[in-house]
Amino acid sequence: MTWEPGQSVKLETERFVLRSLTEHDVSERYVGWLRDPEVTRYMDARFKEQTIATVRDYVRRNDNRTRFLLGIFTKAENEHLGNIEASVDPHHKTARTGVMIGERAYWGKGVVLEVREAMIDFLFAELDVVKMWGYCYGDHAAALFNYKAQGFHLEALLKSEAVSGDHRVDVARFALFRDEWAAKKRGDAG
Amino acid sequence: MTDAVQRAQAILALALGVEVGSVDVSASSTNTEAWDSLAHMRLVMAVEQEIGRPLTPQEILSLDCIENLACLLP
Repeated sequence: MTWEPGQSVKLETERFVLRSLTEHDVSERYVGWLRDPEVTRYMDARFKEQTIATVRDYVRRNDNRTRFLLGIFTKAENEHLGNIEASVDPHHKTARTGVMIGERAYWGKGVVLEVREAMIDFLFAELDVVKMWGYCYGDHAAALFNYKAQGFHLEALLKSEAVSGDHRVDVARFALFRDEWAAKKRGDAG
Repeated sequence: MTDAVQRAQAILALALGVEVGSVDVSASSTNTEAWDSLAHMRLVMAVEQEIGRPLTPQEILSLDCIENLACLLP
């Protein structure tokens, strides 16, 4: 792909188009995800009041240089079903990613693995990132499963780091290095 | 075949929503298509109910085959 820092990003997977969000993409539907306690069960977004204005402000803070917020749209219907974000530290060449599937109908459909693969490819190829990382609550079985399935390794367990429901939980931090990803892709292709 | 392995097969079958007879002792998350993130959530809940306590993150990550599942059962 031909991409320059600051330009909108557009990535394509088998089923989805991922593209940089703008203020115009902020809809009541999008805000509704952030107000849905099931969607935000494992996200800090649940602690904040979410409105069209606050979400537009959040979207504006993504500059397509070190902060990326891409909407996940179906190819078939152009339906916005969630977002994937990344924050890049250009000095240390690391990047953190996070995915939110807002439309519950798409849970358990392999969306996270498919869209995160495209984001990882982009960050390693275009931003000279050497290490990706992400985290999830220690009781978030689906997220733990997905990190492992994608080749991330558990790097640290932050003890009693967060509140989940009515109890405290560990936070699991995962990492994936560029050479590991390249080896996995070669293995998957072979 | 041990009792724990048989119970592990039954629990996994329920989590995957398949007949217990279709879950082989060699079933793993990498060779079983139905074993996705949602199935894993159901599996974790079932195991927690069976053993009467929450699983640790390491235990949730270790649940990737019948053998490891059986090891967690009392």
